[in-house]
Amino acid sequence: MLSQYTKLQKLFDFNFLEYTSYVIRERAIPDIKDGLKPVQRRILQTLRLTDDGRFHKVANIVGSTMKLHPHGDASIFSALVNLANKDYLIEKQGNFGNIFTGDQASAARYIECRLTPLAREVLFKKDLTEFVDSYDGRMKEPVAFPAKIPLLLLQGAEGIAVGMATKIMPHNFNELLEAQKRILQDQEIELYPDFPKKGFVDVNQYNSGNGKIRCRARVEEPNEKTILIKEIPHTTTTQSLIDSIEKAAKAGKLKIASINDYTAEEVEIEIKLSRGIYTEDTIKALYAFTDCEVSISPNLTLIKNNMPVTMGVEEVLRENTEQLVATLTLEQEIELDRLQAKLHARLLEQIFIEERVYKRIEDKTSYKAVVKSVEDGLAPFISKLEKEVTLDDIERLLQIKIKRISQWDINKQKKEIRTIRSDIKQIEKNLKDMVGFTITYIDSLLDRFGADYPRQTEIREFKEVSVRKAALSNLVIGYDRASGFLGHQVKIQDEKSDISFSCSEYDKILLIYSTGKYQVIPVSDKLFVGSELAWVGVVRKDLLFNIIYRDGKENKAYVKRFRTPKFILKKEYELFACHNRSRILLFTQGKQRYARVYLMPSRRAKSNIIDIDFDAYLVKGATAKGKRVSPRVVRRVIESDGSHIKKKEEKQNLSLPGIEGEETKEGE
Amino acid sequence: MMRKLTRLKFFSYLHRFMTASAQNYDESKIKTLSSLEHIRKRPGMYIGRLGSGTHPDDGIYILLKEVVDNCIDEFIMGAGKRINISIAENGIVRVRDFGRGIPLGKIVDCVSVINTGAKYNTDVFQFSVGLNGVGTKAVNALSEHFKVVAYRDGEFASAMFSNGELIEEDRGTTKEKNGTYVEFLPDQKMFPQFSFDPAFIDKRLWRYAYLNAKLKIYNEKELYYSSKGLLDLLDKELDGQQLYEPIYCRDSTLEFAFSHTNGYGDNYYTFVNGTFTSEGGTHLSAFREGILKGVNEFSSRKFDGKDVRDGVVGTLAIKIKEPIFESQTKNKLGNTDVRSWIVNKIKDTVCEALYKNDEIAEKIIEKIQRNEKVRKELQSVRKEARVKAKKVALKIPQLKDCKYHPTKKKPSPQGKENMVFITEGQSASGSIVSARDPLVQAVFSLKGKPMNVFGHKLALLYKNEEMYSLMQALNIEDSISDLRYDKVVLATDADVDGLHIRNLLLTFFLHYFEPLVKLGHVYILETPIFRVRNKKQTFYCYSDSEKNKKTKSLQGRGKVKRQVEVTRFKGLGEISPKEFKQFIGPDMRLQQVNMDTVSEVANVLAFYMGKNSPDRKQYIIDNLV
Repeated sequence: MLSQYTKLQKLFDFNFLEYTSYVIRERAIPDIKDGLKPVQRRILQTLRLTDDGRFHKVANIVGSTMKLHPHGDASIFSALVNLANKDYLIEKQGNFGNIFTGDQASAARYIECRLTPLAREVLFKKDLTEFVDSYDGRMKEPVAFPAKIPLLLLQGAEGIAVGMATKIMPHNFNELLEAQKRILQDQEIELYPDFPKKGFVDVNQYNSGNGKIRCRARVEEPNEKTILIKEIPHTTTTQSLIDSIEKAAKAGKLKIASINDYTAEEVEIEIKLSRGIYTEDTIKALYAFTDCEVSISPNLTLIKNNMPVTMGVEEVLRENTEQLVATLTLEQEIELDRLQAKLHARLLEQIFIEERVYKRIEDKTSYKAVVKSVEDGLAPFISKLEKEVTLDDIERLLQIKIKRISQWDINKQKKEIRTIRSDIKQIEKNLKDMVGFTITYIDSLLDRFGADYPRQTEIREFKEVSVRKAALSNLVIGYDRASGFLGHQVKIQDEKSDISFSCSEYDKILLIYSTGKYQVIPVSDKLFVGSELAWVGVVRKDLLFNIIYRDGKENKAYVKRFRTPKFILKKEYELFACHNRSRILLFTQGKQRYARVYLMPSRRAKSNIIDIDFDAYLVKGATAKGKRVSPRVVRRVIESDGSHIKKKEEKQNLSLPGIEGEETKEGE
Repeated sequence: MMRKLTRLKFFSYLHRFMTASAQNYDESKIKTLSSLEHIRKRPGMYIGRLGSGTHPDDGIYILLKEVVDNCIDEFIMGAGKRINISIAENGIVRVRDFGRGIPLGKIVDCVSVINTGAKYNTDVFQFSVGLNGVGTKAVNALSEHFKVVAYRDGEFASAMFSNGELIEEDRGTTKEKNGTYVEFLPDQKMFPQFSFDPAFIDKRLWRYAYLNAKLKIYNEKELYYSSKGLLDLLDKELDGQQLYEPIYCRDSTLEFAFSHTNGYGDNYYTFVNGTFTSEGGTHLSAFREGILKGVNEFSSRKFDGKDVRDGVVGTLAIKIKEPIFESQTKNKLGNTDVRSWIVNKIKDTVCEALYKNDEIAEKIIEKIQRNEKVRKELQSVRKEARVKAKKVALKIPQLKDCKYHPTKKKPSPQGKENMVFITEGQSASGSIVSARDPLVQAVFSLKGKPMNVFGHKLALLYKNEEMYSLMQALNIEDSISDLRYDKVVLATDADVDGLHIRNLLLTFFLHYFEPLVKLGHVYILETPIFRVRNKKQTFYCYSDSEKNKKTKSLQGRGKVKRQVEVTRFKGLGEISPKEFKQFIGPDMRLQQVNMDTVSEVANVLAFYMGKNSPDRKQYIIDNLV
């Protein structure tokens, strides 16, 4: 960026980078390993340290967490409540608020919490966790937990840092674990979000967690005057949803008679409709104008190796699965070491006691001699052991209590050693096939916890609800020809010459001036357009216009038919070459329109009248010149009912390639 | 408390007086210092501050200036278009001009006898920078080593001094071109541990280049050259933000250029006889008046001065025969006789330029009308805010004021400046309040993080209660010159959030009250990050390395390390009031916030405080600490 660093910039730069780095690494963005932000990790670590199976007051936990987290208690408290409400790691006792209604949790001194069995199972393993000094060096805190489930994708996360933000959707427990199994078996996976508030989700553009999703409320219509909202979209609460509906109703986007929140255990918002309004349209409007449909742009930014990166869900899950395999391998190796040590000790004891090595020390006077005698006593049996005998081993043997020796049970010992040996074999077998072992482990998690977490949100493809279509035609545009004003504030004065029509705020209005100019404008409250409008109306696709106009330069009249032209808003176009005498003589719309043209009387002419059937003319573009009515000068044109036209044999218009079939549609 | 203090002082005076009278006060005590001796005794009188080169106005830069000024004078008189400067690693400065050279016979007098020089003779030097005939003498007196060589028509004379004492003199013939060569090494005793900051040198040399178009200054190999003079300076300051081609005029005694930017507030760079007048003065007010009059005459309307000037960035250099400088730092012009001719000249030029160039005229008028609109909008908001503020309280909430305040007419004497600490939250202000000196130290406590005002309109100042209170506390609503404190000290915690608040506050000042920073009123209070102590001793450390050093020394050399308690201060609230006294007492560590150019501000703010951009994201990722 800026090439040279000035003093001021250096100052800003230092402050900025320090703060930004802290916020990104230590506050807002979760880690890929355990899916936790530092404050959450510190809460869980504190819960682990205080964990004795009983519930603890949240206030105490918050206080203890402060030993690791040097910030305000309020922020820790809200982080704890938030984490608890995800219902995976923290068991709640008391009122933790309601995620559906948005009600707040009780004060920290009232409510209690503890770790869930799931958290105890998958999160903590002291041997595998890297610890660092806490901020004041008085405690140790984990860098990241060796989580055995993909917590990041499971719980989701949201955070705004500086220069970047993260928005990770929650996913379904069972689906994630099944997907991990598929990854281990080298199969393709597909993952979509799942929200505790249920509802529907359209994941077409999820793009592995970096695209866009749309969530909708589940709406029921028990009868045609009532709408019930039974499930709400992610990011909303019943309160915020009702607020958005009220706002839309106030803005006239939809009409409802009443709205009530009957949410108890289940969400239920009841909307009563007013007279003349029906559920089908209102539901569309709800999706279009209220939070009944929300669009979310997820952004999977996370911390990996202490750096912020953006990844896809599949990629993250792969990392997590690799991490799971590595964690389990380490666990098994540690267990193996432990068992081997145990076996060694047991074997030594067995020899020491059963071969009566202990008797040799009776007459030894010095410590050295004692050790030597034990060593010698063990020597013949060394082959039975799997490890070298160390001095520590001998010390341990010498500490065996007499009671133990006198009550020695040979058979029981043999059995125990057998068990240890078979355990070791099992672990060695596991270590050879870690993939299989990991899958078995995942299965066991699924067995134990899977039933608690069924999919909540239904995946469904949404049809786009066009805002324009759902909009009510609640505005009446008036055109007062006398004053030349147009708009929804304008009241018409003269029924005959003035025009009025209804439209919605999203509609566009086509103005066609008698001079041949036309223009498309948005709906406005009051706009001066002059008194020369030949036609004004809402732009619809494929309106069919028939005009007869006079070309001022040639002083000849032309017939011209065209459909709604393409336009750029507010730009002026011309239907025909501008001239002070050029003007539209007749303007009609649609099919089966007829006109009668009076020509300047001429003595030589057989008739001074021409009857025109517009359908006999080709529909062309708006800029086409059209077909000349007559070489003679036209005096007057009126619309007729077509009765004068002799029924010639039906003359078929040749349809142009590309507009085939369009002719059959009714234009109006 | 106060009464006690004064009484104490009184006693100490008394004491001193008595001990003095005990000694003999007779003729032998009366001293006449030789001129150079006097300079060494009272360097402040000649070169302002001493310092070690960390501040742009430190003595060593003044020494350089005095020498270069003489070269410039030669250039102004049309002799010598080039100046060579070099600054060696060890601090020796070499300056060579190609002017007329000091008359060979007077070379020693010229650099060592005070009040000697040709500049008293207006024919030889018309508008010289250093009129007082002290310049080179001061340099000589304050240099460990000083050498001057003058070359004149194949002959040279040289003289060498040490601390002002003549050591060697020489004369002879030479093949060198005419001119003067000066080399000097500032005295370590006067400027302990000095070092030249290339950035400050750079700035000074560029200023010379801009003020003296077509003059070539070489610093080693680097060329400082401006062909269009002030116009180039303006160009650099504007950095492409001008709304139109600057209006520019130059004659023998006056040169100016200005243009509008889209911003608010006006910024000027004014010079008198080549000296930068950072506080402006009579010539600046005449310049501003001239612009206003010119625009009003052209448009034949009565625009408000503020509307016309909002967004102006301008440069002005004048040459006058006997400049009188006000204020302690000698950077404010006081001559009242300059007003009318500057105003008229500028008015005529502006008016003419506008008549000649429709496009510029259109743009200026448009900008002025926009300013007018914004101001009127603001007026209504302001009224509302004032009414509301009056209703709330008689005093400014969040402010614990001090007793003494400087005024426009009566600025604080040096060393007795008052200050306001801006603290973050209540927990920190408590300590500062009880540790402060209520005579000169005030405290303003913020409620949590202030708003990021970047990109907001002026109206926000009146809508946001905190911003409004802060503005009221500093009394800078109408003009920066009403500032009630000499120093505005940001006293935030030494943690990352504190750093963030510093940026937010700096944004506030730079965005709305840029001159406050430009004039160097804003400081950052450095507070210790660690306290290292055992039962006997306590140390406060400002950095990690300092902490480690102190910890080791307290632990002792013995095998058994003594118990040392290390506390990291997360917030100022952790420091108890008694401890705090030393951090805001006479040994207070303050870091001044400096800015180099006006144009950088917009870029810096936009990058660091503006909206997220892919550039910034990449920058963050590349530079995470």
